[in-house]
Amino acid sequence: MPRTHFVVLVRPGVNEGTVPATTKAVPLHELALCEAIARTVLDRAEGRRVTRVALRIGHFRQVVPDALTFSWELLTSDTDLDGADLEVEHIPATVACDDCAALTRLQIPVLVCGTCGSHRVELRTGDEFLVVSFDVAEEVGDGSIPSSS
Amino acid sequence: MGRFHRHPDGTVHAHDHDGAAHDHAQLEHDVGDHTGYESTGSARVAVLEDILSENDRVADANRHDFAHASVRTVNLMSSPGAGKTTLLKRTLAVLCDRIRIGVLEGDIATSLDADELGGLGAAISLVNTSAGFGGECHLDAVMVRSGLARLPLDDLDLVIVENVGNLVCPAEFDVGEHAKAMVYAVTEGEEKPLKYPVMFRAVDVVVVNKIDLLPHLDFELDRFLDNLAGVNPTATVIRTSARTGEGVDEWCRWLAGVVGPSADER
Repeated sequence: MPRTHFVVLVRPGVNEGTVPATTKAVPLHELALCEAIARTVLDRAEGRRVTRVALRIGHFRQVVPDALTFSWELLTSDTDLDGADLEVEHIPATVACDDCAALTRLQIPVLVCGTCGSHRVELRTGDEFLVVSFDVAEEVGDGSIPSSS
Repeated sequence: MGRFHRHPDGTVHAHDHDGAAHDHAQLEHDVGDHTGYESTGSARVAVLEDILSENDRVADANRHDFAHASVRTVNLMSSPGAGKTTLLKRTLAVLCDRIRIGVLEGDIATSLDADELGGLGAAISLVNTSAGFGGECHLDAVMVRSGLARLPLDDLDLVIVENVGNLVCPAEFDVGEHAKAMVYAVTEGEEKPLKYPVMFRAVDVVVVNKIDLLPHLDFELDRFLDNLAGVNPTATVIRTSARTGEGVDEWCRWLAGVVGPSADER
């Protein structure tokens, strides 16, 4: 995969106009994640054209969907993954209570049972961070496909 | 005409499709060129692997090397300016005469922190992270592995990985450490455990630093501790001032405990 050695991200309203365009790189968590995703997919794509990548990301992972999409487009443009859509399945966070066995869906990451208030809970979902699958385009009409006609 | 496709399990085959069995238009297949092979859309390849699995494999290799050299490793994380380097200077001054310490210093582009830690009795290895694309904000297992090559692992008891100052990224990347620690400055406010739960949930110990500043701040320590307990009920909390030295001994005892019960008697 082609690697860009240096990247400058100018984020509107954040560092716009304050970052000398050639000297400072802006750290971006999602960019590192996208690089890992791209490597995972390319290792298995065997040169086929990838059209879509499906992820499963739990509510408690600190991933900003827009930043992920932005990073993905930035990272994959002009590479073998150019044009591949990134699809993110968001998994809600749920805990199971050790005391009353109730399941609670959590918004904020304070691990507490919504039914009895116990802190003796176990995280059941919300921690996922998976590449689920990817789609590759079928070869069409290139003469190598078996035909019965 | 063959209808070629690939199943998610990798099998590939073609269905008979003679064109007389149905009307393409009725099936809304009348888009594109149907004179040659019919496009069957795409094939799905199942992966079901953690996004960070490649990092985790290298982390396992690091862990193996640590075990082989009988070294224990602590991954030290914080936001920028929380006081990791100042705390480490104090730590080395206390521990270096009884524990052989190596510091793997992560820095975006400079050697400033590594220079500060020099001459205190620890072996220092600097890893500048700016070469990686998107890797500027943390040390991952691969970067740590490259830095380890410059540490005399066989002659060390403890490696402290001083991660890049950042509350988000470092928490995601296992580097093969035995324990994760974070330094948290009271100037950072009470709500951060709720805003950065991945980091606060991942760590074994939270060093609450700069407590000498408490009289000058509105920071409510109890509220911070409540928030921390909500996110990570089992984390050890150590209160320090790296500036005055308060609490540093307790932190050093915790570190010595990671190395093993015998480390204190050396």
